[in-house]
Amino acid sequence: MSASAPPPPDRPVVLDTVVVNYFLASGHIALLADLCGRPLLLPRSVFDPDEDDSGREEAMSELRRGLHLHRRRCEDDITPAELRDRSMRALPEFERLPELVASGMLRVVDLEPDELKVYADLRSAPFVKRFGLVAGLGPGEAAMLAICARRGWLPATDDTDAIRAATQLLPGVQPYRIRALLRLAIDRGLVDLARAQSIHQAMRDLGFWDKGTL
Amino acid sequence: MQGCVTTIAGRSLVTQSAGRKERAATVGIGARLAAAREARRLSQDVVADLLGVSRVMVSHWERGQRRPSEHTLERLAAVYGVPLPVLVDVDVPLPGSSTVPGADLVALLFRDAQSGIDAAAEAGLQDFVRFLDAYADLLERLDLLDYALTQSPFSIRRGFSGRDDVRRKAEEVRDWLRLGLGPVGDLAGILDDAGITVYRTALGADLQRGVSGAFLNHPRLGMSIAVNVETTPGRQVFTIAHELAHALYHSQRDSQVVSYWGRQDEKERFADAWAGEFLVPEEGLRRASESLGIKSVTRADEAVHLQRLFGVSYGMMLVRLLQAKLLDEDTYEEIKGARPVALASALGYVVHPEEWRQDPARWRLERFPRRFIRALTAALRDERISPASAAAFTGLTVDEMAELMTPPTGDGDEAAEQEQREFAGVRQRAAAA
Repeated sequence: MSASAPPPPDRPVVLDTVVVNYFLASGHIALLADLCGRPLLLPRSVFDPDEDDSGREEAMSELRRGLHLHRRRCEDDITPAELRDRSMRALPEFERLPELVASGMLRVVDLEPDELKVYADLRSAPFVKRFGLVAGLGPGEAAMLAICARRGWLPATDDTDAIRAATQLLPGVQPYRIRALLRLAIDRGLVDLARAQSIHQAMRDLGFWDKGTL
Repeated sequence: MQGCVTTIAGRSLVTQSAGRKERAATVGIGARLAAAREARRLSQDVVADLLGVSRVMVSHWERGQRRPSEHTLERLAAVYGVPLPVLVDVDVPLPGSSTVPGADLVALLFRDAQSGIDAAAEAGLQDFVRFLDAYADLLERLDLLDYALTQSPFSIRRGFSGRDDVRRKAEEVRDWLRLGLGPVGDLAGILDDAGITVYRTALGADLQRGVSGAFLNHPRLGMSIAVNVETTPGRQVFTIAHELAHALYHSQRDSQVVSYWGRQDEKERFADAWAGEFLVPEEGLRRASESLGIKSVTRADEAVHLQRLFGVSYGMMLVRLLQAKLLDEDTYEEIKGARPVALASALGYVVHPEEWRQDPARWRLERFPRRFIRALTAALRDERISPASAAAFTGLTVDEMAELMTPPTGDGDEAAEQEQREFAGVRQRAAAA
């Protein structure tokens, strides 16, 4: 095992929007499943297969909102070329979301009433001020941490606010970040360093903000 | 529903064995949702409108056939005026009245609107107040809540009596904003710099029952304007000016005004007339016409040139031309049925998709006040807020927030190029005319 690779998960891993977004958009959702387990577990706020695709966007789960953004950017003449190019690459992968649920690759985890109380707290700006945050967590991040807090599962996120909250909410638990997951993939022989670097770069080309190197 | 087994590296882990329990929870939450809705005397149709989903979906949730997401439950809790933990806790009785922060301001707006608005407009007004409260919270936490216009520098007590007085009032505001006599340009941005918040939200596509805009003197942000994104861009500019009239001339007496179709009191008539004088000052219109070589408008394309120059709707430009006697009644009748967007496109103007068809979802960050975007961008770059939290705050996607942190390389250049093309086009057309 390389020095910086995290230990493989010994408990179920719950994913937030950021992690699924970039593994999916770059065409490597299967690699994520190899790392975190099949099915990939995600809260309904991250992706809801049962929701109405024609409702208002604000009512949609986070990945479906992303799907609609990519569709629009591919069609609109006013989208800047670089952003249209990103969406052209991501859209076919996002269109696969319902199929990924149907095939069992993705599975939605619903929150129990006591988890919804934790969720509500994490969404509240006054509550998360104790973690040094200026705004409540996103629905996907809050739901992911609520599940982990009550069930002892492991979070996978690359959202800095969620990581700050997790450090205090889940003492001793290190959330799986995207770079750490890629290092784990190298460590487990799923990809070599050059391949992991190219995946990381592909994610950055799609907008992932991580400036670090593998 | 079966228990869930996750397989990690060849090992199976039982992650959820209680399928029956899960189903019971869904049914329990559904019954609770129905009770909360009935306690608020709302129909499933209205709730569907407020949330932006189908009525069938609301019915599925209440019957336990589908499970709403955590975020949807949160939004339902806001509609029912109940905190989320109370909404889903079967052991706690549902409260009789709203306990959600911000409900007082929403109630003020609803009272002002009386029964003149529909559910979609109510949802938009709720969104307006929710945004203002959250925006003020964010600015406070970032130590940026430094200026806001809470009192109008003008007074309506000096009275107004007819068009001359309205024109003087429009001129004094143009002087205050240092606008001169020409086109206003980015009115929302100009007002933002003056400490007036402009926020675009969906207030209903049915203009017979929807709301075009609203004004609220927010306790912390001061003068704030909501604009309906489900109207044309030209109409939105008019709405901003109309609500600005309420903010500057009526806020001494009313801290909120909702403007909807059919509302025809003295305040509304004043605001309409003032908006016209403010956006297209007669003298400015004359000068612009002269510079384009138009002595009197005789064709629709001439009106379109002037309309695009001032950034207002075609209908409004015709009215202002009539008032300025730069258009006669016969020509007005002849050209009022022209298709101004198609004409503008044929004349070589860049036509925004919103001009053809209004789609609230197309408004992304442009919905928000410029100062808000600056604050959010700085907070993202300084890692004081994360992309997912910012996405939740704006209702946009993580990708869009990431783009604020690291703008795509060609983006700024393209916007500048487009602006230059547009400017050059207007000059060429003016020269040709």
